[in-house]
Amino acid sequence: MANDNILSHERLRYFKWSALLMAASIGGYALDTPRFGPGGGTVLGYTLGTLGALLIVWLLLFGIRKRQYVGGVGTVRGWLSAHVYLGLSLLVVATLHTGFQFGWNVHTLAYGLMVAVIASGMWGVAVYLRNPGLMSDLLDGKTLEQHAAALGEIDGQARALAATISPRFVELVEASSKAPIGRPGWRRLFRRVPGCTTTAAVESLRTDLRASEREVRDLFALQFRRLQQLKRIRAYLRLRAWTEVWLVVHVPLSLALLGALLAHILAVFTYW
Amino acid sequence: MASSSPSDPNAAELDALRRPLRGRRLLSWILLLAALATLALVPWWLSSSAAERQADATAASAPRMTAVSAEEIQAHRTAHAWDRVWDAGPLDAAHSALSLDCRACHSEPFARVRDEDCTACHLTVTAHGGPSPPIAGDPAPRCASCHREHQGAQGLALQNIAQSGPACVDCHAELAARKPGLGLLDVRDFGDAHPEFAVRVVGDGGAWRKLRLGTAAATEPTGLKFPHDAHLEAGIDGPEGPQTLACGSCHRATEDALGFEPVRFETDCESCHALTLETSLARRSVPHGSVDDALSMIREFYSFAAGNPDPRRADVAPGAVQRPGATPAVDTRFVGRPGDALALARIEATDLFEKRACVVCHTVARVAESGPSGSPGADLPQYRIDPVAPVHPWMPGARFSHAAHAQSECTACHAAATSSEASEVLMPGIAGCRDCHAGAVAEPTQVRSDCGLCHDYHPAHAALKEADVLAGRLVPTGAQ
Repeated sequence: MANDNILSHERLRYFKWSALLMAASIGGYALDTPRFGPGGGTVLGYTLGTLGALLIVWLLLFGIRKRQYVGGVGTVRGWLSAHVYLGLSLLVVATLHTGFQFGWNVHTLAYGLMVAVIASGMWGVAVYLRNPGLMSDLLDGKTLEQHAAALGEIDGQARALAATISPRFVELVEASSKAPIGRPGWRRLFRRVPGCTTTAAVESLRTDLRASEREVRDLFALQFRRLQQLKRIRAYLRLRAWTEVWLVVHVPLSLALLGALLAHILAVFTYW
Repeated sequence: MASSSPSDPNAAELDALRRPLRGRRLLSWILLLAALATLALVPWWLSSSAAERQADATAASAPRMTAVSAEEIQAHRTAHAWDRVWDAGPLDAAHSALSLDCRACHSEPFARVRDEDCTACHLTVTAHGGPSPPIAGDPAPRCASCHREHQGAQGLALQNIAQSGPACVDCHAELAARKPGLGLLDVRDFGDAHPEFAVRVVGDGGAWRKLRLGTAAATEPTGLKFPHDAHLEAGIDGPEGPQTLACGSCHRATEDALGFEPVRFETDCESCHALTLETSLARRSVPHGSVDDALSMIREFYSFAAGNPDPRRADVAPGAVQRPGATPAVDTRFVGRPGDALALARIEATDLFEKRACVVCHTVARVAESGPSGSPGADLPQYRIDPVAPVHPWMPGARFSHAAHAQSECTACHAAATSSEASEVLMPGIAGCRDCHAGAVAEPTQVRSDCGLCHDYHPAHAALKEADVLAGRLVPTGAQ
């Protein structure tokens, strides 16, 4: 299936499961008339709570399943589709579990963390649906290595050309060839790359006294192409970083949720 | 993806730039452990160590007979009240003082709040229908079966009003079949499935009898002769001429307006039914209550009068009154027949007891035996007056606020104007209530009425007990 994505996976199989789960929860909630009002302590409340807790544990298991490259039940893609839809249904299940009783306590904290995890998950889904296309457009059918290798080719031509002009230009080209492709760590999320010697080389060649000479003009063109190529690689890497940064929110928050969930369950039954 | 030839000078840099963003794993561990520590382990540890300290402190002391004090709560609560992070919601205003001490109610971990935790403070709460009556769907009802905390500042108050109906019907809808010994009829709704009211009266031998209104004449011996109809007639003789009595002339509501003060001779009867000696001696009346006191008073009075040199003078004759300038009222036995004090006292006693005063309201019988020796009245005729039954609630299981019904005439419900016997129990049936009161479902022109509008779960039994104490059927503990 060419247009199959994590949302449309298996003809919306998990969407249907999720919709069924949400409809059952809402229906149960609508029909339930607990004596003391809705809440986590009614029969339906315990049911939805148990269901929600099992869902959370299962959703967390995705973090383990996606690392199992061989074996495992089903495909990672199928798991992800189910992860997304059942994760969204958790919002309904857990909200109805609360009976809309909120307060400054571990119970509402666990709920708030869950909402934050689901929200970051939605961000992740949006990113997963949007960014790969943009990234693939940037690579334009080649690999990143091929794009990086193109830099080397440009540098080779530039060195040869610079050698015919003047040592000053050789230095310029050498410096340019050492321009950083990106900034390490978290700074790769940002567009600015200070100390980019290729940008400096382009600027320097454009304003050089000998800029009108043909060889210099050619060298400028080479460096300009190098900068364009560099920007494409940087744009790709930046997009790649943004495609995964939501996970730095999603995963730690989901473990915080696990902690708060355990505390919630402990609290509820300690002070029953 | 990460493959690159060693010759590629950018390979290492590209690899570095494609490595996952750092911190995800570390942050995950930190947040997981921080959440577990601050929200689970620390509160658990602090609360269980506080519980241990409390157990050590209270192990030596005697079983408690008083409610938990603020000092105890302060002394034994969890350090920093850290377990409050587990608080499920605000306590009812009545319990807000316990907000900082979860274990005041949650005394045992992993066990639901026990009734003993409630009765540690609520010492006098009486169980409804005996300890742990089986309620449908709840084999062992607890205090918390009906009282659910952490529902906000008015949570319990609202529950007591609004949740009472369905919970009652759980059991009372088929109680007659399940507990025939109780003699209770089934109730589903006040509007159309509530039995006719019953009154509790004193039957033969002083035992309680339950009389269903409408099935038999509801009567109860009172020991009094009191026709309500005669007293409610317009223009009856009063001390200052014709007057018309209202219900409130004699019946005064209690402060809570749920019932009425007992009618008392001194405040409610005497102004018309004065116990004066020889009708004209308005300032000289016998005391109400004790036969011997009354007889002694008569005997003493005539002895004094016999020794008085000029009994005609009003200022000397004690109690004689006359209008200024009028001729002294001389037309009395006292004035007209001075002589033997004992004979005069006998005549007056017979007159007062058998003709003029006591016998009007009471059943009076002359008895042969002589009076208590040493008493001044011992040599006068002796009488026995039938005791007057003490008042008691006729519907002790229901709560009716007369204040809430003040806009109605008393006689709209109580048929006093046509009652000629004191023994008639003038309690209205359910039909009159249903003119205004609907059941649990509100009607457009009627008042919605859940069980809790008239019935209390606990105090109904406290009221029964109270009535038993008043009637002397039960000696309260500690009074022996």
